[in-house]
Amino acid sequence: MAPLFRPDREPPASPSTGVLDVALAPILRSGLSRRNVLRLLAAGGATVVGAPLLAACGGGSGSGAAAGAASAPLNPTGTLKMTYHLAPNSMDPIKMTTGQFLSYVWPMYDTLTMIDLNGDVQPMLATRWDYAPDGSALTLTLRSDVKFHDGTPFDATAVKVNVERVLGTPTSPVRGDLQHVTGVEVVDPTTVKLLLNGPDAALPAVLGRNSGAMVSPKALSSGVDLNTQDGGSGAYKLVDAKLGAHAYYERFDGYWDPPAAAVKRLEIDAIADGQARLNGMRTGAYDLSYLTPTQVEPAKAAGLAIAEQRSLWYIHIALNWSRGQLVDPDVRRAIAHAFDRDAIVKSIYFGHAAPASGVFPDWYWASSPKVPGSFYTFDPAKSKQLLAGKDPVSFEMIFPAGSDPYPQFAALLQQQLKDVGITMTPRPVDINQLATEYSQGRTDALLGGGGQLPDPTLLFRTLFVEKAYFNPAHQTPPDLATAMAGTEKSTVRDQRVSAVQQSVDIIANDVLNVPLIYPNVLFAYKPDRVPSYTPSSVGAYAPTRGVGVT
Amino acid sequence: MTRLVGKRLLAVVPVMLIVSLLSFALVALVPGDAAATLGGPSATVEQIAAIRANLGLDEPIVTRYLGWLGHAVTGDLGRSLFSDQPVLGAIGERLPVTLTLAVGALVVAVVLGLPAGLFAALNRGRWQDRTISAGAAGSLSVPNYFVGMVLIIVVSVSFGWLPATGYTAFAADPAEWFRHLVLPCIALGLVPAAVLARQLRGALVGVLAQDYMRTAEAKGLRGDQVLLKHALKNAAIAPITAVGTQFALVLGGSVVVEQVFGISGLGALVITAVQQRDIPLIQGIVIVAAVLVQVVNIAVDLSYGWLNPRVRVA
Repeated sequence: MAPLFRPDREPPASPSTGVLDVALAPILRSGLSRRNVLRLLAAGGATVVGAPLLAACGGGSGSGAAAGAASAPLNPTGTLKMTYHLAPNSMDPIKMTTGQFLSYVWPMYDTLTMIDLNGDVQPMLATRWDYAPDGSALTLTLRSDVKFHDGTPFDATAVKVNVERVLGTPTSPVRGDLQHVTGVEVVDPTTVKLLLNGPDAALPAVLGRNSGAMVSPKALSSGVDLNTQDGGSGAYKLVDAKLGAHAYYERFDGYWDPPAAAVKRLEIDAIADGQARLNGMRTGAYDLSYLTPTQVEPAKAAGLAIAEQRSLWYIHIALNWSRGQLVDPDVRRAIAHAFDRDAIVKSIYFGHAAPASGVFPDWYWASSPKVPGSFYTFDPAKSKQLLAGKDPVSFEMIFPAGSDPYPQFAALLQQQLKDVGITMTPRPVDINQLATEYSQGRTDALLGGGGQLPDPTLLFRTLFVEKAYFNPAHQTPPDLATAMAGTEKSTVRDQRVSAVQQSVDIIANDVLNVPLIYPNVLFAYKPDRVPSYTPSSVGAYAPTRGVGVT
Repeated sequence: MTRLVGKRLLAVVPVMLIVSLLSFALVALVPGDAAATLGGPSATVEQIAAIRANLGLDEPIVTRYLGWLGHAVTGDLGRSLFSDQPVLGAIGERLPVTLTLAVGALVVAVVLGLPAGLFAALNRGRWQDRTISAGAAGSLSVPNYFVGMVLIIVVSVSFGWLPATGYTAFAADPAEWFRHLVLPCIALGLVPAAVLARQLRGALVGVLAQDYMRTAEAKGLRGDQVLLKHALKNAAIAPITAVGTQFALVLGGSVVVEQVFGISGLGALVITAVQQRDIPLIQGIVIVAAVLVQVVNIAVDLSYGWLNPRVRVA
């Protein structure tokens, strides 16, 4: 469950002026490049005129971290200081409103399964999971050597307590993730059965997220305030949490997987402003930081190493295809062919992204070979051909106000659509109104982010099923509904692939949304402190498991 | 004096009511839906409607306001819709940071502004006066975030003298606390410093031209005695008024400066609350900020009474 509409936030490029050169001369002589100085200053402007919170960005292709790896051995008594762009609303995993807050969950809570760096489901507290032949249950086999930080042993009863807690909290943002779970049955201390009202192939991935984070039953029964206090069994114990500001953790010595806690202390500071984060890295306050595409070059110039990862994150135009001229599939196809995605990658994401046509990138198992990134080629002639004989097309598109790079992004899209004869009117909207504005059918389209989910069914549930909040059409093409249902029912991946690909094909052919790019996830780290860092390929999360310092 | 204090305190009550009503109405009237944010991306339309009903967000605004007010008068400002933290607790965590920043900025303003105003007044019409006036005008013209960014580039990034981001609590490390405060306080304090300098200069120039100043000099008082005992005390009302008004501006300015320096104070909290339409938290922050401003205003009013006995009588 990722935030659908998290804007990237990066200072706009500032114009060059002679007066400015003179004014900045003393600073430039100090060693900073003129461009970097202007960026730093521009960031201040962005702080004032833009929505000053919520940064999320990505870019470029490539992977891994290892550039500039330190040769010194890891220091098990060291402290890893990280800054991240988002601040959790709660440290209670089932109250978190945004998927990326998992970055704060993972250090202190173990999940039943684990999503690996490639987005695949791996064992964690559950060592295996088996579906009943008729899909009416999912049986989990649990580790027997796990204890919560408060000394309570982890067992099947703990799973039951936790799952029932989610089921009994209808206001939880993650309640919908367990929509097919009807109950829990303890078989023995290391075996638990989730009872289902139908097959749910996404469940193992769901259990690697907030719903699968295990809280100590003792902490729950004794009323520990999980908003700010620890209740987990993870590699680190939460020792200090100030919501919206920071979360500090210390190693849990009784952890069942000792290498996971590679440092004695882990500190995550939430800093919304991208330039403030980079300044913190430059001045040595942090070892690791989330990065935006325009910060890559300044970060390199400051001697920082860059970790860049392709991901399941995409930027798209969500279309209300039940509204106005967007009802016509040919109009939607004309829109999809009007965009020069390579130009967007270069000019808006500085090369740190890849062109997108489908909801999943080519490298992901759920992608369809029929919908490669180049599926919707930049073909103005084809767009014009599709629109021939139709009334002039015009529609409105909302985007996050003042959150770079969306204003520039919207302007570029407007120009490219104008070139094929489509009038698109961009309308900036406060980032927290975007979802409401779009989902309540008050606009035609929305420019925003999506994806960052470890299972394709979760994405379909978010955007395309009939009752999804972000499906303002409140209808689903019957063939797509059938295909998407198939992605839930087939619990073996090989069998799921055809249903998933069929869904992807329908979505792309019917142009139910217009994917534009897949941004890469970017982090900066100090190579003399952190030997290497590999971001998640699911999205802009900040995994810290096993990350050490010298 | 007691009567003066009593009158000022009584005047606070209607002000707070108006402030709370306006802020509640503004937040309620601005489009946005906390329930949609709370529901998360995978929520269905029905789930979001249920969340809205559960939080009482579907009730009429008057009912919601009166409900909030009923609790507020007992000191209960409710709980955050998103974190479920008590509003007062959430504010209490952040308020010391922002107050420290605001007080530090005012200290910067006083340390820079008062000597500058005094010096300018004593050198009225000379180059020193013109230089200080130009400097004050420059300070007023430059936004605090710009000053902050320049300070970060020069002092922190280039020379590494002071930290560029974050905040350390005094109890954790007093030296680091001070180091982290220097730059944001300067960034936030330059505008009030300029205002103070201009106010003091203007007032002092007027007082120095009064007949009683010549009389004081004529009766043989030393220059410093004339200045401190007669001139400054009579010229102080204008700059003290300025300190009161600047406190409110500094509180507002901290929203931006906290972002630039990556400080998690009340400013960062209010931005999040507004973006999420977290009505109880917004209300709480507005009320606390209004109380702070009222307290400072009362202090300023009381200082008038000390400086000028005629005010007490009035």
